[in-house]
Amino acid sequence: MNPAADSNRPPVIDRATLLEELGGDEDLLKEIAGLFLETGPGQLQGVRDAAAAGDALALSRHAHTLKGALAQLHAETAAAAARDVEEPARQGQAATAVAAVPKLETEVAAVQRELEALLKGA
Amino acid sequence: MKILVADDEPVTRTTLVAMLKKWHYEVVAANDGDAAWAELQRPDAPALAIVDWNMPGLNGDEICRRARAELGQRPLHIILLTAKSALEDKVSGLSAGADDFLTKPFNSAELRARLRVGERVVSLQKELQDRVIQLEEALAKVKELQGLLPICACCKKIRDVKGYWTQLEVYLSHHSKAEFTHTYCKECADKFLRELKLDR
Repeated sequence: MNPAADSNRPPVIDRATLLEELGGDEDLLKEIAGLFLETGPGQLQGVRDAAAAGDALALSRHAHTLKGALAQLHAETAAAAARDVEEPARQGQAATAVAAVPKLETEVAAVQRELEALLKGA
Repeated sequence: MKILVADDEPVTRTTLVAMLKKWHYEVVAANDGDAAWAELQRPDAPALAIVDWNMPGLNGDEICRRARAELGQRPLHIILLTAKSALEDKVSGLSAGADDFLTKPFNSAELRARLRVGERVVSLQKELQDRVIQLEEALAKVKELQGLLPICACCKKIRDVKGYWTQLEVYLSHHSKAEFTHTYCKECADKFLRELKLDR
């Protein structure tokens, strides 16, 4: 454990900025949190399937959609992980894109945990 | 004012729709490019649109291109939603006919400010359009007065475009702002007086 490195890591979701962007609307925050918990897994599965098929075009599309949702949730680390899949996929570098998928899965899982906690009122 | 929100990604779309409703816009949402294009083709289509660049079906730039080519002079202000880094997207979006951009994740204050710009442009366009219609109507009346008017050689009635014969002063007052006050010219007054005396 290295607490200094831990505190340097940006939060999974920048909740304060997100809430501010939503005009302080807690209900809307919960609505979009629930929405991502519903739709995010499907988008991630799309990324996995495209990676398994080696389909760079589908991979860039699914990673792009996921990136948009994560960026809107102010989940910056996860959005960057999605971009690291999307960019090489769009340039046809399927192998590089596929290699970046596990990191994206880890980050999306962290976002999901954070959103679940948020919905429980934590 | 009515506004179209087109984005396939549910988190962004839901956030946009909720905020626009909070700001009292009438919101029409579309899940993909084809649905967005269908909404824009309706006779009561919104004059403001926030359209995602990357969507299944028609892309944002293609929607801009079609709107400019096919929707004529109808006021339509299109704000394209793009990723932060995509400078080349902005350049090709503007050439395709987009009016403005909003980068994702969008900032609510910026969104609101850009919407105000859009509303201002749309209302100016509408005003101009109404003015053009008024001017065209006025011009049509002037043209009717300038054209070759069939006039009866005897009673001086005018035949209008529908084929009806109307009195000269009625015709003129319908096609111009001229008003008439009836009197006699010197010649006719003398003639009338002579006739009166003869009658006695």
